[in-house]
Amino acid sequence: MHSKASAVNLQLSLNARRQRHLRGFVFGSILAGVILLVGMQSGSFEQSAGILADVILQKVHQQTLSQEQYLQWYVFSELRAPRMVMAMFIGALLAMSGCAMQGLVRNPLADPGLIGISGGAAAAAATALALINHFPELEAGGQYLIAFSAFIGALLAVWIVLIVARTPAGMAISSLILAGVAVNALAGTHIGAISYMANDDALRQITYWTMGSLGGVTWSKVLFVGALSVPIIGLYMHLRQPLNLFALGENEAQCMGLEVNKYKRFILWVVAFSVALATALCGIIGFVGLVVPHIARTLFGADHKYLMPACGLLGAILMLAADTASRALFPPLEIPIGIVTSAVGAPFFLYLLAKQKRGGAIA
Amino acid sequence: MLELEKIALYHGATPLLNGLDITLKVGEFATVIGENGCGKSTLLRCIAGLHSHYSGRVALNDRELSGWNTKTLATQRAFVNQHNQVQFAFLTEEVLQLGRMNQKETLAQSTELICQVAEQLSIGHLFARDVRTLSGGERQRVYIAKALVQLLPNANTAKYEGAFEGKLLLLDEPTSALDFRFQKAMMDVIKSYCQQGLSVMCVSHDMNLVLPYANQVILLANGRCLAQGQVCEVINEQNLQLCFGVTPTLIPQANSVPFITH
Repeated sequence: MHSKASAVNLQLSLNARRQRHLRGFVFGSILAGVILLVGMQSGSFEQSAGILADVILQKVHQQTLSQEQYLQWYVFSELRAPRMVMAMFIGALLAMSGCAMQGLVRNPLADPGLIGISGGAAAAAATALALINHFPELEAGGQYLIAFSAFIGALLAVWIVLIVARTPAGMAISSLILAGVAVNALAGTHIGAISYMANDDALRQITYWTMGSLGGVTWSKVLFVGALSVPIIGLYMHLRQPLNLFALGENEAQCMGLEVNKYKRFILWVVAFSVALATALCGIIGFVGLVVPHIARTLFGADHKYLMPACGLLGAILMLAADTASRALFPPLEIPIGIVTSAVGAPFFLYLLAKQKRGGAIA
Repeated sequence: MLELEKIALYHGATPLLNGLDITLKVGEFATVIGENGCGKSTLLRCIAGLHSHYSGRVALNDRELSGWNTKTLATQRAFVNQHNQVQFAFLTEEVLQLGRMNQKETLAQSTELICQVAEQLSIGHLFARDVRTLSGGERQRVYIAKALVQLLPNANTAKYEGAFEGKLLLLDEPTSALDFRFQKAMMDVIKSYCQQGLSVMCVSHDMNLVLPYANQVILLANGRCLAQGQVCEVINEQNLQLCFGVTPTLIPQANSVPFITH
């Protein structure tokens, strides 16, 4: 039978594609390992893998460390290792949320920031920073207050956007984006007003916060983010098939058995929650959610089955690389990581726009 | 298998559909004819469950549409929209695989089913192509194939005659982009599924192509049903004049379905 033969052929090509993607994932993991090795050796404190290996061996054999060795161990285990692990979690979260956002609004130029998440977080964080500056007694729990406010601010922004965009027939994506623009503008005004009234110190902190940073990451923060990231990543994996259906169009998705309105809200909340989490702990890190899904799509195709995990992996790699670059470029200075990602991401975004204008299809 | 009672749908104060009563039997091929904007596509979208604010009753297999679970409903009725646009570089094969997502099958099983339908519609050579780069006609064939794939019974159930009984395919202008060869081929394929029990409701402007396949014709005008019944009862100069506002010429044919021309 003819169709039997073509079924065998198709199965073979499916297997080949899966093999290719698996090889991609293995290669990506190796690349992440290499960047980890480079990353732990870069920065203002000189550290080499060789010395560190000796230190770890001595630790394993429970020998006492010299002061020099102890310093090596401390810088690695308490400063660099936690921030690199954090970078991977944050990168994966941001990239996967970008992937979900683009799939949901069916636009490759979409970004989680589009619906006001980072704007809301920044406005709330700026308020918290100004308050802490004004009331020194808040200083003690300062970083928690900032993170908490940013988190709530982000969710609040999304909530407002969702309410505005709600219609009896469901949620229109176009009004969702317009509402996002309005909320972002409002957040910008709020930050502007606070900056105007704030003293130089607070102003500096606000500016610094909006540039994003992985400084000051501790294992307890990593543990916190990790514990929340794992179920969120699980949710994103669960959303792969619904996102595939969204790519065909909302009507099509509904007719193929997806409860479109329910999933639309669900996807938005998952995106909002993950970006709020990342922003609360590390400030605004732009363009990861926009750029990574693009790169992943050119490498792994549009099917979210592979695209979503690929985004997670590539996001982790990109953030690791950006973190390494932020420490390695101008030691002993550490460039805020948001600047690194924007410096790479913004030109790439312009390139995508130009490509689209020339009529080329965006992958 | 499909019953519509007093279906009405308003856009503001304008009636789009105005008290339609339609019944479709198992294996029946119904075609909906009418001028532009008379409510044909709205009717299909209503039956597809894409409009929630209609009044009246739409029942599929004796169960009200709203009583169906979205996933189960998707295995019973499929809808081929007039306009389809995929975002992102999905491959034809990936789009077709999505049609099987509500079934508990292995990838090998669904692949085999997909290939069977693909062969019928001659789209096997398009599997590895980005759907967005397909021609209009190719894409139309892929989407109809996806709808058929969606309705195919589970690969684990034994094959039997009438496997499509109780299943409904809604087609909005399914042949608008097809060439001379595939217009006929497509209708033949769809009719072959009707013989296995599939009920079809098809909106089309190509009356001469569709009418020979139809068991029932529904003539719509301004959201109302102008005439309804078998081809020989409905298709006459007077009804078509009422429907389109121009007088057609009907040339009698051997198969008792007249050829309609200006």
